[in-house]
Amino acid sequence: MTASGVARLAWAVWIAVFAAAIAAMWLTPAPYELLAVGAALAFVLGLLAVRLRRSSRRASALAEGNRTLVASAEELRRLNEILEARVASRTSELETLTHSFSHDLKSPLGAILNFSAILVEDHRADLSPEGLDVVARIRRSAMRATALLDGLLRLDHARRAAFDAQEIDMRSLARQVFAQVQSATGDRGVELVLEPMPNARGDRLLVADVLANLFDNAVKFSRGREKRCVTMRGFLDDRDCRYEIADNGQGFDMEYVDKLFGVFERLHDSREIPGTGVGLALVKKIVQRHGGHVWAEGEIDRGARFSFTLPAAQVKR
Amino acid sequence: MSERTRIVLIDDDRDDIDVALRAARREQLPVTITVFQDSREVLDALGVEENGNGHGVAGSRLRPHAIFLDLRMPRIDGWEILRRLRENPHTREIPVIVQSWSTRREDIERCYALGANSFVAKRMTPANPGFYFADAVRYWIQLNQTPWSAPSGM
Repeated sequence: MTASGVARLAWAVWIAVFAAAIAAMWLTPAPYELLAVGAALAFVLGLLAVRLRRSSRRASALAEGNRTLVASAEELRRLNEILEARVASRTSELETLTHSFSHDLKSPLGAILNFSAILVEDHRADLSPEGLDVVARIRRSAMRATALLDGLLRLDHARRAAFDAQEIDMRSLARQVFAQVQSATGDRGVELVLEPMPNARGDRLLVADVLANLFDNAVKFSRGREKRCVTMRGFLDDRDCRYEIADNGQGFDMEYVDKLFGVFERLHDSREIPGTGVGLALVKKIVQRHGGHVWAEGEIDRGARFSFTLPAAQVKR
Repeated sequence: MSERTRIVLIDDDRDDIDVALRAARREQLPVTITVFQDSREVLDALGVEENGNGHGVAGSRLRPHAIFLDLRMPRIDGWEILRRLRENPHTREIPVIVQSWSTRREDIERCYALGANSFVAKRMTPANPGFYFADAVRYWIQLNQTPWSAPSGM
């Protein structure tokens, strides 16, 4: 029975008892004790009824409040869904826009590079040394824009590329990628040390890109130093593998660690060390696509250590 | 070779055309290049109508040995031109080499699905502008063999 039902019954009982008492008083000369007991009973019942009524009113107010809460929670959830769908659609719109923009930009940039090359090749005799220098500057800027664009396209690729998860022998992949970095940079002065490491599960091509960027950094930022060396090791933490790639290069100031993984963020002058600031952003994107995370530790002149996690090929027992 | 090899170059961008022609000239490629900047014009010249109709190259003076095709063209784009070339029995077997600044996977896939023979990325290089066109022409004209080309190795 509901609270209000009980309250109504209590009232009815109280009224009945009260009426019975009045009637008894009226009709029969009853003993005073009985009358007193009846009156007391009626009083207690009355109190009870008032109490009950109050609590039932409170209960229904609570129920009402509850209903409103449930309704507004539902409303909130619905609004949230709409919002999320909107964000997703805007994001994909933006991504598509970036994607086609980057490709469309190649055409005018290409024209600048092509025609400045033609200017120098076909009309060199007509240009003064200053004129040639101006053309060279234009070309350098266009090349830089091209490199930035290329970086954007690579990021875009990391975001959109098909994902084929499989077991990856990280040691052999590391050895292979390191050899590629050596031949691409033409710099064989860095020694690779591979310590034991577990196999990961992920997209082989994308993970190879992660290693390539980290090795490339290790090579780049240790140039001109003694006994250059990059060490890779791995650990199995529960369901994830954690890998570390450490070098003994020039390191970085931990004050700027937050900027390290940002797109187009660079901690070094591009005249000192070439780069567009895309590599680590790419690393982060790919690791995130695998559900992992990436972080870095460094100290100026004492090297840098990059760590990232990937799903383990086998879960630890 | 008594008769020079004929190539049709379809591109709406005058800059890209000039870069390609300059590269062909510098490399002294033994080809006659006919340029079209308008899709409608080239389809008419090749005798290609919609739905596989049209007399095709048989009755046209062009009869190209290879067609170099840009993708982003106004009104009738490169894919549509490609589709119509492949639909027409008279132009079905002419090698079509797509040239584009785009290297979008979707764009490339669509070209091959429609029957392109090759996809060449237009590219910016520090030197030798338009080398991609010259290299592609050399391959398709000098190395590639078609049923109607003169036997090679002679």
